[in-house]
Amino acid sequence: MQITNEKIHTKIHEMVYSNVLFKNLFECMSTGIAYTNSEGQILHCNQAFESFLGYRTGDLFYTNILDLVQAEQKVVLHKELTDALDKTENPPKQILFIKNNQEEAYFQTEIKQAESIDNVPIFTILISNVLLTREAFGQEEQEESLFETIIKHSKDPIIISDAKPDGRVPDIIYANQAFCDMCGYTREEIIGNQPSMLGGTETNLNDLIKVVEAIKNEEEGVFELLNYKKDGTKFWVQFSILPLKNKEGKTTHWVAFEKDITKNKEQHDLLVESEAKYRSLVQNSSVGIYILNANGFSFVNKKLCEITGYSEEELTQLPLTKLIHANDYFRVHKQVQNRLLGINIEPDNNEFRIIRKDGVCRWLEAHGSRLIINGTPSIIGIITDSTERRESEEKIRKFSQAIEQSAASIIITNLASEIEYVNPAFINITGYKKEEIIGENPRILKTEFNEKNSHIEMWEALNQDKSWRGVFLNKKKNGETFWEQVVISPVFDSAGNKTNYVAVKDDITKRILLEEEKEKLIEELTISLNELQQFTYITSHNLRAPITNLVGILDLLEWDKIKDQTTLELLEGFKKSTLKINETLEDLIETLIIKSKSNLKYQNIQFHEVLNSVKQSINQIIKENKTQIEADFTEAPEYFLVKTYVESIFQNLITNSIKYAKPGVPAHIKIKSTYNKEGKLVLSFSDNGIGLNMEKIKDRIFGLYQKFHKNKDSKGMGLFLVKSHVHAMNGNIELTSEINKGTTVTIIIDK
Amino acid sequence: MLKNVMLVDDDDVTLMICKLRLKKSGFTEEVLSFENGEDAIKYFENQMLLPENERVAPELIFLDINMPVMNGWEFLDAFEEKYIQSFPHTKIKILSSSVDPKDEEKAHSNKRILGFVTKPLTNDNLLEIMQTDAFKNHFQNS
Repeated sequence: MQITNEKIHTKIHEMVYSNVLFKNLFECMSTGIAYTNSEGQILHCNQAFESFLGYRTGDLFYTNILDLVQAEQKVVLHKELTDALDKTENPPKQILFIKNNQEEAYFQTEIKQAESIDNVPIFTILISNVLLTREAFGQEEQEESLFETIIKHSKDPIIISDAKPDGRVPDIIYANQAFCDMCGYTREEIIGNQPSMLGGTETNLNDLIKVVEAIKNEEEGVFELLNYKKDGTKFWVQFSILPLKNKEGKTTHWVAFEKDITKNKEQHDLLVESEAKYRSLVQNSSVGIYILNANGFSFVNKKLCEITGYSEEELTQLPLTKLIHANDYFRVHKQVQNRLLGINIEPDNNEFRIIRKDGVCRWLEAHGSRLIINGTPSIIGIITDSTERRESEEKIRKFSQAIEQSAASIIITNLASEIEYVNPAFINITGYKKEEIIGENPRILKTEFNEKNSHIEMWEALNQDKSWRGVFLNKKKNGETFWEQVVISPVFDSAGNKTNYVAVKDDITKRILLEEEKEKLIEELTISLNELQQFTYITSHNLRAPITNLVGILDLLEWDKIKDQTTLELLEGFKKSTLKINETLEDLIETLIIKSKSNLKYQNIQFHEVLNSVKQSINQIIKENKTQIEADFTEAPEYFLVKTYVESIFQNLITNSIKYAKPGVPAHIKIKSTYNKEGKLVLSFSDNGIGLNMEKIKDRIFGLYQKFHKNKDSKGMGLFLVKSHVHAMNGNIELTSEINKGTTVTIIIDK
Repeated sequence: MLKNVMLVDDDDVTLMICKLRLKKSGFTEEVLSFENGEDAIKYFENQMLLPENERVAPELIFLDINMPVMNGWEFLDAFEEKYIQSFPHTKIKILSSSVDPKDEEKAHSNKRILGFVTKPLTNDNLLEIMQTDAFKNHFQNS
């Protein structure tokens, strides 16, 4: 028996391997094939059969197939063998096999009697783990050879073609059912055509050329091609082609094992596409995106590089201590550690400072979630630069605090004039509560006492996007009225659209009342002053009238007719005193007239003319004293002034210098006119006289009836008059002096 | 020398001094003096009763301002209203000790008023008047 079996095995071996086509089919098929004798002993089997059951090649030779099935199944299988021997046809059965590793598994099992070798019947046992339908079997099945059956029923699409000389494209001579199912053509449509019939417009020409090259060179190969089904649907196929050669080594046929890989291809493409999509999203994102593990950043996007100022390479190698501000590092480090360990962290404090590469400090805000990447705990998340947001928040906080604490009342309305906001000052001033006033129109404060046009003007300005400033008399909740100085301005958003109106209002009631009071007071004072002035005029007049009479009498007296010496002396005394009273009175009256300022006639004054006229009038004293006057009016020869005042100033100052010259030394007076930096006139009078002790008298120097010398002609009027004149012309006067050196008077007059 | 000069002043001492001064300076032959504006107006009133050729028209009036009963301005108004037609050659000069600048301004704004002299009336004042266009003819012989 043993010898018989070996003999048969050899025969089967020869049979299988004598034909190259069958050999390839036998070894490459995904269906397990075993040949047995009638007792079930395996005489030969292919790799697929052995690998289905978990054995290595050759392990199962001479093993009885009945020993490979589960105990209860042995009877079933035995019956199948018996039926096959009787050539009874049975449909394929599910048989429970026991694999090499003792696992149990069902396989679709079909047993047929193939042919006899040396009168010994041989059975073909096909097993597959795919359910085969009975319908798949053709009618001529019985007449088909063993290999034809295998090819026909293979789940792998297979075509066989002839071989043309010179490597021309061959014609298909066979296609199995799986191939027909794959491409949608019937066998009749396929047979006789070239395999390129499945090509289409989008089939890559280079791929086709490669196949043609392989055929020309009679080489085997594996290819991928885009093909088209009969209905036009595209599908990707992977196929291996194999030349079949005869004993002389000449290629007689080609066989192609094909596989529809459309789904793989699509999935791969989708994966590639979505990978590209996400990569681009991440790189071009307007927020910083990072992946962080315990060693630092393992990934950063472009935006994060921009935020930090570091390049991608620098950032992934930068220790966080160098990036994060020292004051925030400990907190951030702890948060990172906790997150990497999967511990929840408070989400509210995710802002921290960094030091950019350029040294600038910025605030960042980070979010992230834990993710295991290649076995490493990591954080993936986003980072945004929050510096500007923080700054503007800070600004808004300051502004709103300023508004809340402002003493001025502030109202914000929408464009329909409905109040949206009032500050506490508004509530204090008007007595309205916030909830009463929000949504109201500010006109509820309005009274009928305002100027008619003020509201119209206000709206005109606001409609032209301008601010309006004015005064309203408004009323409080309790009806009390109050004055408000108001500035109302339109508010614009960043796009330049008007969104609101804001009114800032100062309560000026007190000020208005004070002003009214002040005006009343000024009015009263003016009246009193006028009355006083009138009184002075009358007094002066009444005083003057008799004095002028005395002067007149003295003028008329014929002195040579008075013979009595004593009477003559008395009259001389009388004359002196009278003239003195008269002079004093004249000075006083002059002062009075300056004070009233009623006849200020400004005209263009030539200084040299003034000096000449003054010199003329005091010619006598100038001669007596041998006074020298050195005048320089070249820089400012003329000015717009009051002539009588200027003459008085010149006369008084020159006379003073002569009066207070050093005894025995003629007065030397320097007069100069010029302009200072501000364009004001500067007149200076300097002398070489006896001077004044400034320490003692500085406060009284320009006072009325202040005399600083025992000079008999001194009345104490001169400088007072000069000062009065200068002040009347909006000027200022200064005096500097040194004992025995001289005195300088400087007058500065505004334009 | 003028024929007639009228003095209107409430102060009798002033009247006396002025009269002496006018005489002494050889300014006029006759001096008509009145103590207030009303008396002066009465003089013109009386003159109007006389035939035209017997009327005495003063060539110059020295008029004070502050006077009781009728002050200088009131006299001026009355004179201009009633007698100016009949005494067209009579000139007026204010002689006052008023210190109110308004009085001087007012004097300058009136056409008929020749000027404003501050008391006392001096020889220099008179000499000046003699040289004015209005009167120089009267003094050419002297």
